[in-house]
Amino acid sequence: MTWRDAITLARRSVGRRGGRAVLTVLAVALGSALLSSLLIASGAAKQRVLDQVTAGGPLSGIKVDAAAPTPVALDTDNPRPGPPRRIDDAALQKISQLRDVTSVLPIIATPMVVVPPPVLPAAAHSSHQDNGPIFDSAIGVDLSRVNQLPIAIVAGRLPDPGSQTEIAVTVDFLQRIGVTNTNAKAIVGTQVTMGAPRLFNSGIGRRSRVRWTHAQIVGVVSQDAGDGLYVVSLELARAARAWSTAGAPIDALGPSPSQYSTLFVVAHGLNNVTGVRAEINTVGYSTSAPESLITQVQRYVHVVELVLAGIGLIGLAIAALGISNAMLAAIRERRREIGVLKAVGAADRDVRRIFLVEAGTLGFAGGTIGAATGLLVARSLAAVVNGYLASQDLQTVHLGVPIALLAAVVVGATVLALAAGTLPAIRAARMPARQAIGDE
Amino acid sequence: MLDGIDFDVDAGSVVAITGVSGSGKTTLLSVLGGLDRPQGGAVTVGGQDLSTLDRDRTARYRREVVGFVFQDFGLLGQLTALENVELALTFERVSRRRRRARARELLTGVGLADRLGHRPRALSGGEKQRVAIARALANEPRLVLADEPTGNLDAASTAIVLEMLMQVPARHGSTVIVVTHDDAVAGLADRTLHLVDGQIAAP
Repeated sequence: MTWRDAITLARRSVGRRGGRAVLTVLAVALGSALLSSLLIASGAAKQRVLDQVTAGGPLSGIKVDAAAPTPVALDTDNPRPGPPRRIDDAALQKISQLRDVTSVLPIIATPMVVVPPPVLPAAAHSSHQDNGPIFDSAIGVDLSRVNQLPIAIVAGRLPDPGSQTEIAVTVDFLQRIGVTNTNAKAIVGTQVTMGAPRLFNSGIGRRSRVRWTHAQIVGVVSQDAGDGLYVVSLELARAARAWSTAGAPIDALGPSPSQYSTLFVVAHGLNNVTGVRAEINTVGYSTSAPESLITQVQRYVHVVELVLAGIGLIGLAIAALGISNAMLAAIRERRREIGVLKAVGAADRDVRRIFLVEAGTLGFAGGTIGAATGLLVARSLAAVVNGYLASQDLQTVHLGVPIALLAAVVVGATVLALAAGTLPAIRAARMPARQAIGDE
Repeated sequence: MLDGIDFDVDAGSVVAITGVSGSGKTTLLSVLGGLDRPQGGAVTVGGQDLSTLDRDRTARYRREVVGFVFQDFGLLGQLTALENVELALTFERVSRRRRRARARELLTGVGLADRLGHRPRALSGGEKQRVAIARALANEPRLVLADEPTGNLDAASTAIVLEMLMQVPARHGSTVIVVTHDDAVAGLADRTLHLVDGQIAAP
């Protein structure tokens, strides 16, 4: 019997026992869907987390301080900076041109006074009766490239790029005004008065003057881009700094003399972080990066990936047992048919081939349906996750169609079904031909 | 259980085997057809000792030498009449075109030219048995073994099926051995063997 004839016969046999075939295919499809969706999801998580880490992103960013490096700068993730050293456009340009540097984002920290409204919204449930002006730093960042910065939205949104009237406040700011994180949403939309201070010398000594402006809190963030309670556009911070530095000589309370307080450098992959840090040190700046943390994250993500694949494989193994069970039951029911096949000339290998092809057909059908379902499930999950990521102004996950993975699931399900069908097929092949004819 | 049975059959004849239930008729048919293996003694068909054949050679014997007709037809429900007849040639690795032509010819010969694409459930009992006869003849066997071929048929179908079986030696050159309870069937055979307790009774 040729394979082609065996396939034709197996297809007809599967079609004749539609109910059982559907249930068996569903079992395989379920296992395959579980495996493929978990693998796709873990692959996407890997892409979203590990690739951000290893191919460049906020987690693999290197902070360049406006300070010279110390001799042991590369020995720790957060070394103590050396003497102050200004970061200007020339330094930014020089660091941008270093090998394995993907991008460099300037950060401007400048003094800022924010006066909360006398009465906060009731929904904020502030524990403070009266909030006075809060003096701290505003962190100016390029809001068009915020995906590359370690800034996460807690509520609301980030200010529009270039905005002079929108600010985001940090969760630390909430604590300063007596609002808990759970009520963060309540203060979004609140109008505040903010101003950049300028020191000047007068006849009676050094005094400060603030250029006030009205602004709106558009969001609450958690950020690690710099030390400050406010996140603003780079343009707003630049203007505020220019105002502040135009006054009397800078002192400890004033803005940094450096044009940029920090540079955030994204290296091309985690493997290059150490090398890029060394090069930046050579240029003359102190750096810090959470390298050891990221390495551990990589390991954990890999473990999660293995666990998810294991769960999927268990699902597929259960489906394989289902195939084996269904085939054994079918053989018990089809003893007469097997006998007839042998009576009309089928050898043991022909019967074995027919039943193996049947098992393979069920596995292939289940694997194909399962892979397609798995892709749909993964896409549905991705849509939910992307909705959340988009609400946080974060880069969304792109799943695509992982053809190789889906093909591997189909092939795997077929091979597993063949393996599960081997014992029943051998048992069918060994059945005596006399089953064709009833005993007297 | 068969006990000391020894008989010769002339090629091209029709032999009826009769006997009460449990007399060993079907067991004899199984042994002759290579469906079962005798625990002792020898079964020689056309000079070939079946008791010495391994499983593969026994399968080849069934494929090349024997054609079966069962009481309950033994057709595969998932195949059409044409495909059921083709099945016997499938294991011989005959090309699809040739076996299809052969199956069509045989089914036409048993008067089922208009039933080629019908599944067994769409055929009457008589039609099913005619398909079974066509299938039994597909590989041009030297021996056609029929187990109660009219046991499930009405009188009209019985007459048609019997007529076809009796014509097999003349039209196809095969020897036919029919196991039957029916004296009318036995009456049409060239020779009748009566089994009693696994032994051939004296005529």
